[in-house]
Amino acid sequence: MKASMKWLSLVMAIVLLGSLFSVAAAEDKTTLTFMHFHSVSDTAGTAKAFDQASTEFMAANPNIEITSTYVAHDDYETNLKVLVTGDELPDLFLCKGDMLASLANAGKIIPVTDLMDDAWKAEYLDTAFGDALVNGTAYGFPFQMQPNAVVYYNKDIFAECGVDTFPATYAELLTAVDKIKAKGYTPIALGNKDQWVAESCLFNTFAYRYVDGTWFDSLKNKTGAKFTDPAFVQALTDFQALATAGAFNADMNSINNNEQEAMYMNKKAAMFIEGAWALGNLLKDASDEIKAATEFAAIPAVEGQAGGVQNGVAGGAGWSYVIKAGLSDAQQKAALDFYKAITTGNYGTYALEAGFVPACKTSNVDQSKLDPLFAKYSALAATWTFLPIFDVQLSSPVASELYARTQELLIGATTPQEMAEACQSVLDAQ
Amino acid sequence: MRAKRRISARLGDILQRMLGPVETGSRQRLRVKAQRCRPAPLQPRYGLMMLPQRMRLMLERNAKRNLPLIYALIGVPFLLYIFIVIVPLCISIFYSLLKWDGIGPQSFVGFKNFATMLKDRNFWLSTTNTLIISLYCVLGQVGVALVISFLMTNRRLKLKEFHRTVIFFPVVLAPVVIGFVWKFVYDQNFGLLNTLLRALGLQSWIRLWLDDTSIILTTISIPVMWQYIGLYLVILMGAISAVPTEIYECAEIDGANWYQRSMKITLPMIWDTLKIAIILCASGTMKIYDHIYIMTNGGPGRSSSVLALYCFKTTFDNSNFGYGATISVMLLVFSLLISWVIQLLMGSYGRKNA
Amino acid sequence: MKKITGAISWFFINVPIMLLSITCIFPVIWLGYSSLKTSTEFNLNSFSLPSALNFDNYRQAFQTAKFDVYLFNSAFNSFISLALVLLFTFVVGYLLSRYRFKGRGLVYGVFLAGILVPVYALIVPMFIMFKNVGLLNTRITLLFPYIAFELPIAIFLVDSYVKGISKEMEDAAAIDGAGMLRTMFTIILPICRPVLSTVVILAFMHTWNEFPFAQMLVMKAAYKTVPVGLTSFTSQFSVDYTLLMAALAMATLPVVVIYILFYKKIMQGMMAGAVKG
Repeated sequence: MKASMKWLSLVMAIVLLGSLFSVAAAEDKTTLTFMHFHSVSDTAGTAKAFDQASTEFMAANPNIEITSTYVAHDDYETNLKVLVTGDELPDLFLCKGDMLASLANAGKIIPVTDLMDDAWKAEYLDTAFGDALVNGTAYGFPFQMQPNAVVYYNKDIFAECGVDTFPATYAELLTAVDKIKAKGYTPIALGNKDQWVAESCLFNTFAYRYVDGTWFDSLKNKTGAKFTDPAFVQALTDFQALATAGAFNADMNSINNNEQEAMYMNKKAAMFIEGAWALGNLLKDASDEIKAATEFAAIPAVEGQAGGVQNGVAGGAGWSYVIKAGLSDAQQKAALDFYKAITTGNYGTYALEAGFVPACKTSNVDQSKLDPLFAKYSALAATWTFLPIFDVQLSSPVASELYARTQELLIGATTPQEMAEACQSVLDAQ
Repeated sequence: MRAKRRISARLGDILQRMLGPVETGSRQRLRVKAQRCRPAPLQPRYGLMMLPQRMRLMLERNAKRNLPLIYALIGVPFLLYIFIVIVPLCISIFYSLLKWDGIGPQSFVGFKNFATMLKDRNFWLSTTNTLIISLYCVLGQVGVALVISFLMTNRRLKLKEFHRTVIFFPVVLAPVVIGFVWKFVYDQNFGLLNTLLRALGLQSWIRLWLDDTSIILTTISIPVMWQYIGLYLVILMGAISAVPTEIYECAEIDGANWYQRSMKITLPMIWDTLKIAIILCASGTMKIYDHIYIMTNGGPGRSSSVLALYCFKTTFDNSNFGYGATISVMLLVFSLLISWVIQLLMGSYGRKNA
Repeated sequence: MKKITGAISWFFINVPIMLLSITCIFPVIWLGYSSLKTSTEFNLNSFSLPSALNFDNYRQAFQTAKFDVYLFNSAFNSFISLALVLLFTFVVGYLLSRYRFKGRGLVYGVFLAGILVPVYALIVPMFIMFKNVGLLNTRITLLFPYIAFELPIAIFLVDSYVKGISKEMEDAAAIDGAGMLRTMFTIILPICRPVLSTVVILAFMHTWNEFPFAQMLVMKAAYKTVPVGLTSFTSQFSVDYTLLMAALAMATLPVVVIYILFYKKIMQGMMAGAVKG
């Protein structure tokens, strides 16, 4: 019986092999391949807005066929890197950070600044292209402008612990932390298992209370600023002090950012700090009680630091949509039309309705359709200055070092001075 | 003038000759009993030697005729294997001599990657971690499996079949499931471990399982150990079952208890299988990746980083394909070294004491 | 006195092993019944038995995660590679064990050395190689690595098992006039059932649970396998534990079924001591 089963499966294999050689349908359309991480089962946030805008575009353009491949966000960059090594890049895809720069410098993606007419360019917010710039030219289209650090706090819990207004300064924050701990709540829910949360969402903006955008540019271009500068080391020290004061949950390095949000939504934590994207999750999953009690704030200012930007926040577009080099004219035109549709125009409205700020300017928005929570948030975010995100603009090895060291800093496994020196030596080696 | 006999009759002759002369009566019973209680010397194989020359030649000719078929049959899987494993391996070794970010051009840098590796603090940290975890796993998987397989020969143990089946069960689970389940077990607030400790009144034993860098290696080794004990248990039990039962019976007659039987008889007889099991375990654990990735991703910081994880991160997160290939080459070298050391340590003992 | 020492040793022998067995089986049972709870029920008490059998999670997981496509792809890859692995390893293991020919040592050594190779290191070169021969993103892409990776250990197992089979049967068959192939498949194959059952379980489980290559070599949504589909699921729904557990349970079920079908054979083979002279 075993032998005949084996023959059967061999025959099956051969038949299946044979069916592979059937000819593909003829095409008179323009076809493009597209890779992204907008999950179709996400019913809020960037994925929803993308879905609405792209469906609209597809319906209006039956002669353009776009085959999309979805890859989960966590695996996206690795996938992309393997594709690059085999020269198997899709025609259109999302890209960010130093990968964008490498691809641009290797000529694998095309610059887009000259491909936009002035009217189109004007549709975007001023600093929208910041994360897509390589040597002054933009290589991709942004679709969101999100701050990386928004404090979501529960005003009811705060009131219960005797803190009436959100702390405006770092010193006040420490006092508030003590009061909240005394009542048995976790002051700040932190889920840093994936290593980027603490660095990207908390520390990056906190550091900007001590240094500013000019310092960062100087650091990036190696024209004088270093991680070991006193102001930055002070930022590290004060950040570590926050952890030593017990502001975070003890298992901060073994839960991830979804679980930190869950802690907040289950009323176990008084606040959590994450990017603006978390608002979408809140709108979808939080109970009405939590939503009613949620307020927004900026990371508190730090007194006595002249070099910092007290109302600054690390943020920007992050990811950009890029176009592979070597496409035909028809394909390129189709690509541009597609990107225009999913980053500007109606997309802007969809974005606001889904609970995040798009990279394009929006007007004539029906305020009543927006979630009140989102309205509260965007009013606050409008007062902030966007500053460069460390892990997007620095190269990957430096970003990895920053992530790992921040994790160690939080549990006291490294000192601020050590961390600064280690990061600097990795930066110097680039 | 020999009568022509059918082949099967001739076979019967051969078998009879192999089985020895026929005895009758009490003499036979006495002799058999005495024989059974003496350790049987290694019997020479009668087999082919007993066949008349003509038959031997026929068999050899048959074997030679089959040679092309043998090559063909082995050739297909062998070529597949070369294509899938050996060629990429060689390419990978070649990559370790390059500097390449995956996108731009490749540049040949000779052994510079290896020099960097010698000075790389993270590399040696990952190596130490991997070696420690391998040690824990060898003790925890093969060691425990050995003890359990000895216990399986003990009459006092009940429900043997149940234990066998159930202990092997985790081997078939995916690392994602294992990682997720154990992450839950270790969870601070509502994990199984803490709940159990609290219920037993042992709150003081509660630690930050996945956050405390001083215990993290032990903590993440346990799920790995737990998963594969069953595999080595089955392997060792198979080896034990190959030991002839007569030896045990004689030992019992001589008055040996279970412990002595296990150490003096079973252990030397399964020594070779044990050695192979340890080599498999050690080299397999050197490659460990999925479990660590799911549970801690190398954290906190880099305290639970292992070589395979470090290799992956270097190659893909840092876009350093050359250095990443170097690390994987070193991983292979370490595995070979460990296998060789184990072979040295364990190779001769078995033969001396068998 | 003897009774007391007897009781103590009974205790120390049976209880630890019982505890081990329970810890081996409990997490999966827990996974199973927890996936039948609703999320709120689970958050209240994570260890209680469900009050009602709630299959919503399974339905949602099946629909959202497109499990039917993934299950088919995984089944296709696993069963076909399993069939070929069985064929190849039996033939190669038997031939290596029984026959002496030029190059035998080389073949044997190459296969064994493969056990030590860290397979993740091979992703990039393999990706480039596959791309150059046009094997990426096809239905049969994953068959090649899956079969190749199972060969070393399986050949090793078959080889050591066949070594323990006495040669008399084959000699008898040869004298009777049977060719090599017939001897192999009609006489030796049935004897090798236990070790082949072990190979079935190991190979099936490895190919079913395999993730990195499935993710890298096949990106077309229509060809994705269960582990890949599962990770996209887990990253989004990491807080809805019951839903997640339903997905994990569904992904694990096929392997468990195969295990239940084949474990008896393995145990029999191990315990009976096969054909000993």
